Amino acid sequence: MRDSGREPVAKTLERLGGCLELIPIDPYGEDISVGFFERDGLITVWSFSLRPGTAERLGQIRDRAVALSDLEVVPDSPTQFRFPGGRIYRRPLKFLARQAVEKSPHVPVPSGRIEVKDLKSDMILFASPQRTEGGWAYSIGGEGEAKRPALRIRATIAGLERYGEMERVGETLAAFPCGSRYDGLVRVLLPYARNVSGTEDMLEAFDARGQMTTGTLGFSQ
Amino acid sequence: MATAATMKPRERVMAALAGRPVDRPAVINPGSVMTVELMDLTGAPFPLACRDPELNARLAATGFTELGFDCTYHHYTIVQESSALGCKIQWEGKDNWPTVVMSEPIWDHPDQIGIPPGFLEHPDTLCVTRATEILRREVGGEACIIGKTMGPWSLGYHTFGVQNFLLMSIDDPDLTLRALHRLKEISVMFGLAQIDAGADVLMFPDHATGDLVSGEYYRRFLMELHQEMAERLPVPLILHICGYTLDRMEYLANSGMACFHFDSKNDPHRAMELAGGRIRLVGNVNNPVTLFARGTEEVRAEVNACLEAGVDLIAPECAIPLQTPLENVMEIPRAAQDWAEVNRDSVYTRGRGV
Repeated sequence: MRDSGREPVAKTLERLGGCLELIPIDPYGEDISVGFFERDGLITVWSFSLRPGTAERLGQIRDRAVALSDLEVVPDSPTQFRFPGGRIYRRPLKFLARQAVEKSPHVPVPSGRIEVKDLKSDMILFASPQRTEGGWAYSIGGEGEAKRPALRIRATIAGLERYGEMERVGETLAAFPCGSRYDGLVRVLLPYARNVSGTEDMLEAFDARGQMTTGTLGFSQ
Repeated sequence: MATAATMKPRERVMAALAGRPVDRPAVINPGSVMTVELMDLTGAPFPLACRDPELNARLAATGFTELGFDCTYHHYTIVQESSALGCKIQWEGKDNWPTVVMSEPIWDHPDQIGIPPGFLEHPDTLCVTRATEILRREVGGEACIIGKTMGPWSLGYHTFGVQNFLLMSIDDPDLTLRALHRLKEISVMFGLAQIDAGADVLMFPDHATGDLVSGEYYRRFLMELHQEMAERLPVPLILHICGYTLDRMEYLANSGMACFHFDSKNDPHRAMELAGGRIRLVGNVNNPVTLFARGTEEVRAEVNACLEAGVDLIAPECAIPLQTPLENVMEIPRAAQDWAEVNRDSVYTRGRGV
């Protein structure tokens, strides 16, 4: 029952490498699933879908992912990109993948200062890239009213450590361990980092979908 | 390099279920191993693939042709029979499981239980039997075709509602037994239809799960009934109960079922010890953590742990999450083959005795 002209799944996976993130439904690509696979430092945006237009959509997602993150396209490959610093950050890639696939491709890529409104105070939280001895780090600050601003900034850095695989390198400084400057990626991460409990709930909901358990089947009381 | 297979996959599974020697451990999926990626590959997305026999079979075949399992399994959902009985179904989308809307039960007394005329011709039961025929024709010479018929306890949840059914079992055990005995006829009818269509083996889920009912409940309400099922359905039956079940293993071992599909909440060594060769065991690679969220190394470690414990057939513990990475699923048969290469003389190749 296998289409004799089609590459076996095992061979495809051998070529693509391990799956870093799988988005089950692409709302802007006729509901195809989209995977982000990694081999030898190259990340490939891939779908097993044979629908017409899939290749174009995957290229669009790759371009969007790169534009959102300040990562780097692989020349002559319309569906591949890489972390120019060499090290692959799996957790941030999960958030980036969702943004690239599930957000409208027509929404302009954000630019300007990396900032987000805090959910627990009236502060605007921001991240400013600055050079350090080990490369680049991000200074996390806040503007506006908050009861305990230092606490909110510390919590945001903890969020960046958790979801960005970043390291605290100073009182208000966080950096990627490879020292790279990925402004776009930090911009993607900042809204999640400021709200760890909300992000955890969101991730739990993503993970629960598609699981067959006594709970999801309605057998739990 | 893997050992050369000397048995066809179907032959391997049937031998393993009977406790006879096998060339290498059988790897099956008495639960879905379908993922959103396989749906894309075959152009057979949920819920369409649960309702159209051609799509259903095309998708199911990939478990054998692409993933390397020794079987196919196509009755993906828990809803097909209940849909034909008249329950309201929430069919969901590509990335989630269809479920029975158990908050809107169709019966509240055993006397109401009846099999509607045309039950086997309902599109949602017919999908399963037609797909069985297709799979038998297309891959049945090689693969073991595993069907499924839901047990009466599960059907009780669907048709009476979980809470109502459990309360009835406390308030009026005799009434509950009457209900179960009427519901079992649905299991038998649908099971026989699948056997006629070409199923080699039937999965028999009966969700007397460890987190809802006790081992004693199993003995009291289900053990004899399952013995009857094993007599009336003339193929090997694989009983499936989720959750912790070591507390009822003694009863399960006497259920008459050929095999018990067990959950990762149960230690495989202890489960094998308690089963004592009286019932075959299949399982129990963890789904939500290992297969879904970890990598191939962790999958391999769990497969090896099952093999070292001598678990009769290797499988995921239940239907795998629809977003499971395919490389993890494919690691199960690979790991089993690699283990067999290193352990050429094992309890698998020697057989267990019947």
